[in-house]
Amino acid sequence: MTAQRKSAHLGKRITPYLLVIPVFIYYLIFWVQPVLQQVIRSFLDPTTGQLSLESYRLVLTDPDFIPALRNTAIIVVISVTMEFFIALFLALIIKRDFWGASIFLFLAMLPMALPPVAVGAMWKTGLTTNGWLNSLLHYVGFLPEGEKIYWLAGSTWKMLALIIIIDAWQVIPSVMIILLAGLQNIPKELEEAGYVFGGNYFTVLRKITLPLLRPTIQTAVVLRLIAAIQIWLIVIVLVGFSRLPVLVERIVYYHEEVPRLNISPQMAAGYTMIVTVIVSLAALIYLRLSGAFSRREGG
Amino acid sequence: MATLELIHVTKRFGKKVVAVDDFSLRVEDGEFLVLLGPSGCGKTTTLRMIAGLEEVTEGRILIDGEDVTDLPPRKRNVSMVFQNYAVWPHMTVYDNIAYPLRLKRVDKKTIDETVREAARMTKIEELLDRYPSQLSGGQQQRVAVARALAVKPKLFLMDEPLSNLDAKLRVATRTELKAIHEKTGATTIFVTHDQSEAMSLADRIVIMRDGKIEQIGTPDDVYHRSASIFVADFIGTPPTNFIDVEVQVRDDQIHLVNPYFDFPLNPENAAKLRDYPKRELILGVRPENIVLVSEDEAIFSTQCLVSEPQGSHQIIAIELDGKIIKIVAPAYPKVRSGETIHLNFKQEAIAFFDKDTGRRIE
Amino acid sequence: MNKRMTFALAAVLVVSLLAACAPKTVTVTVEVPVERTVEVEKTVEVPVEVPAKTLVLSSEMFAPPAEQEFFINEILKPFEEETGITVNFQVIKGEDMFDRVTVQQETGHVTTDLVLVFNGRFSWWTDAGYVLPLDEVVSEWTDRTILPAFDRNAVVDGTRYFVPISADVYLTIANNKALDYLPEGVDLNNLTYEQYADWAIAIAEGEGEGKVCVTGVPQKMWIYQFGSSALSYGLNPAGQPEPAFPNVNSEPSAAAWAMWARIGAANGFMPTVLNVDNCVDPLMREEAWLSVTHNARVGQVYASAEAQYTVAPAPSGPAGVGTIAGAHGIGIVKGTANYDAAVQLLEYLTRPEIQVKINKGTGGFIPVVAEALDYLGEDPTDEIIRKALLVLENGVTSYLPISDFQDWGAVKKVFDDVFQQMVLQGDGTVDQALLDEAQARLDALRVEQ
Ligand SMILES: Nc1ncnc2c1ncn2[C@@H]1O[C@H](COP(=O)(O)OP(=O)(O)O)[C@@H](O)[C@H]1O
Ligand SMILES: [Mg+2]
Repeated sequence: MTAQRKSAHLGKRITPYLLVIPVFIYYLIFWVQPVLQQVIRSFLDPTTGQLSLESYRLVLTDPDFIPALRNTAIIVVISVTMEFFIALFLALIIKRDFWGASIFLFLAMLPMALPPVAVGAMWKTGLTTNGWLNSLLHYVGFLPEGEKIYWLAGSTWKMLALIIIIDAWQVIPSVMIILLAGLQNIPKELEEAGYVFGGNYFTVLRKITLPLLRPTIQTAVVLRLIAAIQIWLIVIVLVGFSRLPVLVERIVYYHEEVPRLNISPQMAAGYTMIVTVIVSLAALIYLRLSGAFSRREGG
Repeated sequence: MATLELIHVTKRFGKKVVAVDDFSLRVEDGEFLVLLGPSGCGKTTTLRMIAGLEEVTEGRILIDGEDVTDLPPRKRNVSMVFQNYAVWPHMTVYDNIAYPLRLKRVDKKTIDETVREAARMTKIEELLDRYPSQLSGGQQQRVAVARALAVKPKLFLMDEPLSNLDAKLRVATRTELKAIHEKTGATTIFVTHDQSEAMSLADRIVIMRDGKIEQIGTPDDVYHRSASIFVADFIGTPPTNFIDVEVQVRDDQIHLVNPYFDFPLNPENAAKLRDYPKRELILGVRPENIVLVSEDEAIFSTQCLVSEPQGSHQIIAIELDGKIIKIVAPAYPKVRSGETIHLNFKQEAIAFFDKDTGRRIE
Repeated sequence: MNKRMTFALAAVLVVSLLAACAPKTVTVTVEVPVERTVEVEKTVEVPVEVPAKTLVLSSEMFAPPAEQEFFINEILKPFEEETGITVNFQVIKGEDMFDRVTVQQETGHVTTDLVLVFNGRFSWWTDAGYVLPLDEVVSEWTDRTILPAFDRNAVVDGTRYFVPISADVYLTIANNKALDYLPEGVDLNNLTYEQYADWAIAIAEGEGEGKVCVTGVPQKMWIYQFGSSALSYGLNPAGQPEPAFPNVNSEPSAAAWAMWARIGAANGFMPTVLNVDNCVDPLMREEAWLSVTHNARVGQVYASAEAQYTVAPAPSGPAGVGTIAGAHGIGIVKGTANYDAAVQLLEYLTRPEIQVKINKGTGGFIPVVAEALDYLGEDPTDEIIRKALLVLENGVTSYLPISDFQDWGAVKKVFDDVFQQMVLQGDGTVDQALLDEAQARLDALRVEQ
């Protein structure tokens, strides 16, 4: 009787593991193995096979490294912050379910359906001197006839701003949808109770809605943070490689654009490791700051 | 404490759904008023309009004579216990109760006293530091009540606060709620679909049907003087028995005739029907108003279909005109199934309803 | 729960990022020939239908979708109908194609039958011995003469390994609006680079906006646009055995830089030149009026609105009309199981009429079979091809010594940087120190021998 119960108990305990094993093995072979390989490679000299920090030395002394780091940081900080607030704003509006909200939602989701290359191309044609953006501005009269704005010509700052805006245009809908889903998961009585017990829109938002949305916000922001660190395609569609170095663009550059350069494998490996560390750190720091580690009940 | 007036209040959702239809009501200071009706009849909507959570399509709402129709919830000074309690999961019990007070910028000491007082009244003093996820349903319900009490509102609104509790707890809690009301004297609007809950709590009951008021009255009124078939049927277990009868005037007396019986009405009842133009109506008799009598006092005799002993009384079912009629009789003498019984009505307690409108004839 | 989900998501993302950057595993597809067993009843012989052959043709040419579609539908389809041989046409980067065939050669599973390779990379293939000698095949063709302009590296020690099928040079294209600014007495067909620069500056002054297009996006075509001009200034003296191109800092190069810097200092380039990766769009949108660019791109623009543009040979310099000349050639991969079919395809693609069809259809590449000239007509593309042939025959050309360098992309980048720093942002003069430094960077990229 006891033995039987024990074995049944054991069976219950190992079932989840049994279910997970195939996925785990797949993961081990197709993800972990290449990753480990990459980590190891980054510490080896490609010609001698000796332990070497050359990859890291090369990356850290690369004149493009600091600009890449700086540009990435600027893009990440500004775009994640801006995208989050705009997406939250839009999600809150749509949640109010005004007339035409679903059409708005549909329209807002369109950019999501476009691959980044298409987005880049679309904006690039828009931003050229005779592109649709200037035409539009002429049409609505913001721009006097004969005058042009050279959107794409100019400083690094202008390019960064453009990239941030285009990225925002594309990803705000997805952030918004995540937040909207989170908002709709909050029982409406919780907010209504807030109103009944003396809250106005903003107090309820601050004291009830946002705290309840916190897990969703954390998910959305972490996803965005990681994705923003990895921005590169829009950059190269807009200005090509090397003009506005960002970290992942450097990896792609050495991996795809100049793969036969003697230093390319080391550069690619070094940059990859550095990006990985930065992504992990950024995610960890954000989660810590946002309180995901503090023990909290409820939810 | 306060009075509440609803003046011709109507609520439409979209073009088709009329959730509340021309609803007028005055609630007196300190009154415990119950909104009673089947699910979907518009009780919650009415309550939400009073709270300000739902816009009023037509009509006005006055609290203490002041028109609050267009005021946001926070300016109405009402509090509410939601059906699912709506205690905030990210706050401790203490913070749940203190939140409304903090918003009112009450000083810390007063907040603390008020919170503890409310907690004491609802017997949750030991739970103040817990989060709602660590509480049982009944405890969460108390937190919701405590939070509503703490703000000392003009109006205390409760939307089926007991419906998520198990039967026993429900009865116990309802007694406590009543006690709390006696103590605070807060004007209370309580929504339920449970008629026994309504009967036991209410000073007055508003019975709703399809968004309209069917009857307003004390528990006695709605029970003994049900305004319609709907009310008579909705209130009481087992519900009122309804029997189709024909009115015949013979020998200067008004008789109620049915294939099973034919009896003359007493003068009071006859007076009600004197000017009634139609020949057919529906007789309503509550189960306890059908009495077992000796054969010669009976207006009809029939066989007992089933009898259900209840300890304090027994419920006897008979079949009449193809319908089951229930009788509540004293526990003794016991009636057995198949036994022939002789029956009469307590004429002072029978009611007549119009066959077409369902309204009571008086 | 949610917290854990967040972590899991983050972890998966980090790991997938790493995995995406990890070296790619090369997938080798093995084609198993279909064997048909035919049951023969008694002694009656039944002709066994040969299973349809499939050829795999890998190409680093015809990457633009329109060209690809044309090549597949208009060129390969008739061949398939004619011979019953199916051609599986794959466009792939030159480096990747070489890596892929390397794996095939090393494992012995050769699935790529033919390769269409840029002539700058011929020597990779011949050095590695991945392509078969074609002399026997070519000698059987009596109706066509392969132009010798691209024999370098296609023919090694007297043995031919590649048959060129298409060539390209650089041409001048101008929007007709620009013609108003053409200095008095200048003949567009005999334009010099100095006149080109004056013209560009005149346009910029007159329009208040520069109109010259070059590809300012790194690693596109600036190296060739510059290289063509440097050749005009004497970078490759006649008779010099090894090409001087690519070079940044020699006297002829500096003279070419000076000419470009003059345009740059006068804001003669279109304002968004740094975002241009291909001059076709800016020319068609009329953001640019003037460009010296690849003949196929010129053809594309010209064919779109013939009346709006004028085409001329590339400008000349003291040394003549310089141009970078490239070609793409086909080789048959060693170890192919479909040698005969591959030869059939090669023969088909070099027929003079097919040559004209291919090169016209893909926007004005130059046929490399002499007899193709007979098939040229009078439409805009024929015009382009004629001009291009003129440049090819009379010009100072250079091929691209891609295999002399570790990575050609990195070579391009050297020129792109000088363009940005000295031509666009400079004061119109040549900074020899900057050129010398760039040259040092360039030399560092050479493959050590
Ligand atoms: N937000 C809403 N939109 C549309 N119809 C609603 C909405 N809320 C309630 N109703 C409808 O109004 C009627 C009354 O609902 P309610 O007040 O919730 O009833 P009760 O609380 O008496 O069960 C029902 O028919 C219900 O379907
Ligand atoms: Mg309800």
